[in-house]
Amino acid sequence: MAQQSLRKEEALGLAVALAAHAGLVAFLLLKPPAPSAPRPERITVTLSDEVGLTSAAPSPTADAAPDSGPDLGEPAPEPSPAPPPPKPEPQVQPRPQPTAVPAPQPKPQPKPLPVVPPKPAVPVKPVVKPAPAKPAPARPVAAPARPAAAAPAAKPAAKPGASRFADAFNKGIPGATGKTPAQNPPAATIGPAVRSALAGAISRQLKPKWVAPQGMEAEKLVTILAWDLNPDGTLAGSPRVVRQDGITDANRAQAQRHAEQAVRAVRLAAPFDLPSEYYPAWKRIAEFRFDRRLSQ
Amino acid sequence: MKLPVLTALALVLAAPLAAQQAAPSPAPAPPPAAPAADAGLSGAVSDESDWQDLGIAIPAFATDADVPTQASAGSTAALGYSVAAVITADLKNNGLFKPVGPDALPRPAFAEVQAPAYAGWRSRSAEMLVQGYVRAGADGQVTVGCYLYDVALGQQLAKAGWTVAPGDWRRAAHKCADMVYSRLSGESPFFDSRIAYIAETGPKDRRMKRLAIMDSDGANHRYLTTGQATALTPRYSPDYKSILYLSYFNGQPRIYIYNLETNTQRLLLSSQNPVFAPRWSPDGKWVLYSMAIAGNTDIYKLPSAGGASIKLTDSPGIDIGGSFSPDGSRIVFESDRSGSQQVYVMNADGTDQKRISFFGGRSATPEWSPRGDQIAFTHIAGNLRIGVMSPSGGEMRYLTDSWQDEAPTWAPNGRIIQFFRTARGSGKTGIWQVDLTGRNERKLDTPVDGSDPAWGPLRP
Repeated sequence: MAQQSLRKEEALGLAVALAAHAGLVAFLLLKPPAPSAPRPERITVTLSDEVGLTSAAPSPTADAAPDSGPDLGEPAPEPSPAPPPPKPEPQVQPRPQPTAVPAPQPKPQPKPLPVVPPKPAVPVKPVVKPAPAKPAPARPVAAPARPAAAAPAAKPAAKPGASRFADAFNKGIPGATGKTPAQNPPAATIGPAVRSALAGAISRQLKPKWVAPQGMEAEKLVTILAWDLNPDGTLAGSPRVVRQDGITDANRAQAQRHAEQAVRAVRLAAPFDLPSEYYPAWKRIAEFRFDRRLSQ
Repeated sequence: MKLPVLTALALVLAAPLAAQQAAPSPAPAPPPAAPAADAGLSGAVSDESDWQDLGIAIPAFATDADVPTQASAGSTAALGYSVAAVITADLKNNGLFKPVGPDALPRPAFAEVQAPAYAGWRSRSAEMLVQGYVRAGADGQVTVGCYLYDVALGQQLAKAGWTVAPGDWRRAAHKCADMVYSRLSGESPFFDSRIAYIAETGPKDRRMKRLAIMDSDGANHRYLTTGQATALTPRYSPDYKSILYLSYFNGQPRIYIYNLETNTQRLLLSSQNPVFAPRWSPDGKWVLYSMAIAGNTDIYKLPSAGGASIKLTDSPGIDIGGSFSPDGSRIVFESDRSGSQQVYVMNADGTDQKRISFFGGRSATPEWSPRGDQIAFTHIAGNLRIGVMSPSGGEMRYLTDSWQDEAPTWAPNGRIIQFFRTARGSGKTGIWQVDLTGRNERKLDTPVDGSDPAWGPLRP
């Protein structure tokens, strides 16, 4: 009896399964064909494992405004941007220009212009003089890396008709300087692109000297070397074998020779011709793979 | 009751899903951590050139004083020239080197041997330099010194010296070639070894087959048997003192052990039944052979000192051609029990027999490499070709592609295979060598046609 009922269950289950399958088949057959999506255009993808965890590129955003005041007076090309600055200024510096704020914007501006220059001419002098002294040492650091930083500083000076509003409020803030270097310095680390290019340059110089040994399965061998370089590109000490990969029973006899040939290639390729400004990046070659299979 | 059914159904449905999820193995290696600022540079270089031969300059060996010697080559100066020529011939044609011999090079001064003029050799675009000297000793002995230099780096890679009897000067040259070969290829040496083979003369239907031996380069050739009895399948003993071979005299097969020191031979086995393919065990204590009794061929082993044979196989087909693994624990042989010739492996006592060749066609004459990592055999599928496989039967590769190549034997270093090739039509046979990459083939010159080559171990 139990057997009977079990069989019944089984039959029922079978029937359900069959029905479900039949339904699935029917659905698949009857289903309207899905409109084929247009094939995406082929794009070339380059795989690279050179990934920098820290952003080494200079900041893509524009430089923050230098913390110097805007130009006052009559800058010919830009009449409209000039008005807004006066608004915040009174809050910072209520003292020097109480009259300038309430007055209509275009008109009073010419007025302070004659007023302001004479003032700084005498009292500001002691303040201004130390000020140029401070940027002077800072400039050499900033200038070679980012000439752009120097350019904006030079522009206001070149404008003949305008007065530096900064000079006006510099005198109220002891120790303030009119020109500070831009706050985002150039990349501190040498980026992946440069590293990749350096590795490529080393690889190009090694290639003519590097001959893998022959033998059964010798193409599977990989030797990884490390070596140090002097600033003139010559070897500092001798290359070291970090490790070897791909050693099999068949090519074990060639492994030693493979490493020897790799070291020989480094010795023959030295001195390396590499850009000296990136010496910190190439003074230590930590892992360089000598691998015949890369090309196959 | 329904629940288990549903559970089973769910499981059945889930299984493929789980398999799908499990299938993609994490093949890509984890990306290397980005180098920190002071971790140093990393990169890779490949070698896209074709396999190229290494240029080696081998000038005539220098001598401090040109004095006559007992050697066949003549005085020490002439000997220095001949030694360099032998080294050049050894290193040529094995595909690894492009040696330039003493004909085209100036002979360095005796003092230069240990302090080569690198600049001069660099201008000749030689990458490696083999220099040496020959000196006559007071007792008639000859001292040969051999130095290997890396010209590009300007440093010495290897050096060695040998004092030999004047008649053995070629051995000193082979030793020097061995030193260069093993230093530059990483492999074990093999030039200083001897080869036994069957020299064939006469017309096709009445071939005279004699046992002969020679150096690995074909020099010092010597016939051991007269040719009255047909000699077949020679094998050097592991200690080099004797050669085991099969002889048919008046249709009666006999297994002889030829003693090379006394030039005498000893009858090991004589039988009314056909006997084939005698082989040594690695310790030289046993001899394997095959014997056909009433159409059933089986493999036997016999103490090399003589005694009773032990039957190792017992199948109704033809079991033939056993070859020991280098440790002596296993035997590879050929059997047609499956209907065609195939390669089988068994333990040395005949147990655990199993087939390892599944390559289509037929597979015959297996021979275990002295290094143990490969088995060479003849693959018969249309043409006869030499192939190698691993002892488990995998990784089969062809080494030759000709009409009829058969009977592979190994060089002592397990990196070169010697076989004989029969030319289509003429039926002329010659001894050939091929290295394990299959790229480098060469014919070994013998005075007459040769077959059944057997390479002896490296000479002590």
